[in-house]
Amino acid sequence: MSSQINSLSADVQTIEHASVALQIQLTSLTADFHQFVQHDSAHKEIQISETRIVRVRQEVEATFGFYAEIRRRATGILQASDLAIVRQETMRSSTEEAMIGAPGYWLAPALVALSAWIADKRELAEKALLEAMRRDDCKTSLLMTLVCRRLGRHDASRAWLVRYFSLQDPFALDRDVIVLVDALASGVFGAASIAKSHEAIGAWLQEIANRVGVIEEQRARWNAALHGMKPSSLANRYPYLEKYSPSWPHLRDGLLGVGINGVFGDKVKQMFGGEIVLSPRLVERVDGLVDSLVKNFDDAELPLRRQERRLQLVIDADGDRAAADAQFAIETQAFQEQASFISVLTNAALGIGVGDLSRATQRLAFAMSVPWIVEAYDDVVADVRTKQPGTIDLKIETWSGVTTDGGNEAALLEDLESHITAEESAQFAKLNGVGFWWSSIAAALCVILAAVVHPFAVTWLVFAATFGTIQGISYLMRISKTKRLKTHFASRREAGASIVKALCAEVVDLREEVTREDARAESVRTKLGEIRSGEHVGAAVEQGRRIVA
Amino acid sequence: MPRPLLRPPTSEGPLTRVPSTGPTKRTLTGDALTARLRVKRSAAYMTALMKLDAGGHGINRETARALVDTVRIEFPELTMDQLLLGIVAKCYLGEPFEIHTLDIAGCIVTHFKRGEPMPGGLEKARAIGVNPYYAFVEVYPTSVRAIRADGGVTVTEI
Repeated sequence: MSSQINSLSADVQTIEHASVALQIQLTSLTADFHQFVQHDSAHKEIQISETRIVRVRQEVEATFGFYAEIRRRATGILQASDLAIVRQETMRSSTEEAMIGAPGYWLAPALVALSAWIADKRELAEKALLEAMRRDDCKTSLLMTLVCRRLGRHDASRAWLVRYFSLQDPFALDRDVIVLVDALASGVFGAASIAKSHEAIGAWLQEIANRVGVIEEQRARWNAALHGMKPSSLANRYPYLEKYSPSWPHLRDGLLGVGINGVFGDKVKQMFGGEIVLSPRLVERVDGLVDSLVKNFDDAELPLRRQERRLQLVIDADGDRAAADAQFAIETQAFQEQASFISVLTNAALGIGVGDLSRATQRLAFAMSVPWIVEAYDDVVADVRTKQPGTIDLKIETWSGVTTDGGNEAALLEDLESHITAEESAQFAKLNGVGFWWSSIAAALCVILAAVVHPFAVTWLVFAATFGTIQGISYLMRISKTKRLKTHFASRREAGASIVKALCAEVVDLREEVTREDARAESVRTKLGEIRSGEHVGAAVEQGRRIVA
Repeated sequence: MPRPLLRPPTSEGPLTRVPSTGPTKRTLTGDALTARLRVKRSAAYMTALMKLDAGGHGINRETARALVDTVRIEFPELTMDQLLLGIVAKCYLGEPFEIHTLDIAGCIVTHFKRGEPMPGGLEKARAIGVNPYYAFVEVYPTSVRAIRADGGVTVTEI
């Protein structure tokens, strides 16, 4: 009977092992299947996005292709005029052709005005200019500011700049205002224009600061952008905590959180490190700005540009639509027709929007945004600090303990020892319990019955002998089990102690790492505090007084 | 009606970013309240609250009440339900004390040992409260505002 039970027990154990193995295989299969589904879905997203982006670009080309041709003529006319190798008649016919081919487009009459001006036809120039201003006053004013500056007409340039500023509402600026920031950063303006810009921008920022909600919105954008700098993975430096601490998810989150300081600090260092070399020739700088103004800021193209960017983000994120959507949520304001001045600065500082921005512009926009960047960064740092777990739970099999900084190693070891001793005592108590002696008791009863009930005495004695034998076998088994238990608990003590020591060492290292990374926040903050926007206004080519913006 | 300090109210709303110092009380809500609570704290407020554990263990009820009055003076526009629940700050009395609190409703300063839980929703500010980079932490029902020694405010929504 005993052998049957043993065999049955062995069978049950085999089935149990098989079931566990099956469970592991099933879990692995499920994980593989989910991975496959995700991979397949991401692959399809990339394919769809790639197909659609081609279609969107074709639509841009089909709808606005003619504009591109006109845009190329803007700097073309200026450079041709410099070199004096194109006949004025050619310029005139070319711009007039553009005027007929692009009805409603502001740049066409602006180019007619430019060619008429070069040909010294004042009446036509004024007429064309009026039409350009009727179509888009802001862009025309900005274009003329740059063109006059290029031609060395300082007073005219400043007059156009004053006109441009007078047209602006700092809460609803056209996106092209970034060209102005670009002009400041690249040192295109003369001293008088820099002073005017300084005055206007100062007034805008003051007005914005007095309206509740505008700065808050930008602070929230920076907050999201800073959270987006959180590293996504962690090197496997704390394997014991990962395995034996229920607090690991919070610890991991805290570690990744302080990682923002390093990433952001490096970005700031990169942005403000080194000197920016600008073209020594003013005309080249102005031509770059004119190009940017005519190419990147036409609102009619914006819906298609928005679609294109969204699809590009899906491709960049390897088909991860959620990640692409999160990034687009940060960038979405850069694709609005109008925005507040500080929103434009945020877009530029984050390097998002249509067209490429120079590093000098990004630097100046960042420098101008520093007050609310510091506030957003402080909030992110405080958020990370708030979420650092104060105490760390530890769990090794049935034992659990708590540490703050790993300094209570001796107490934890003592606690683990008492826990294992208590479990060991319980196991030995169970082994030596009444249940162990039941066959001896039964044997004794049989002997008593044999003495009392004479007709069946032999039978009772046989039973007594059987029970005695069973007791003997149980005794032998207990010796073996006791030995096994002693070995088991000894190894648990040894392993447990080494795990606790390793855990405490890791806790010390982790706390040190968090403290070190957290301290970087203060140095980043100091660095941000040292940034002055005036230091990033580009030096003008001409000699003149430089005024801090 | 007191004369507006900077300019007349516009159709967009008053200049709620500027803290009111006049006798008229106007209830702040939404963004205006958030903006008000982010305004840099005054020097008088900072000086008073940074001495929270200067009296050691035996800070009396009158001193605590004076501190609570300092808080109320700092935020005259706030209604009782908008006022902070309490102040949490790192304790410098030495081991085993880790942190102390000023309970605004009860006007009591209490010192807590390491690991000893703080009552009244103040526990959520423990981790940032012990951080040496902040002078103290203001605890509100849905947010925690850590105040730097220069009065600068950082906000964590809970």
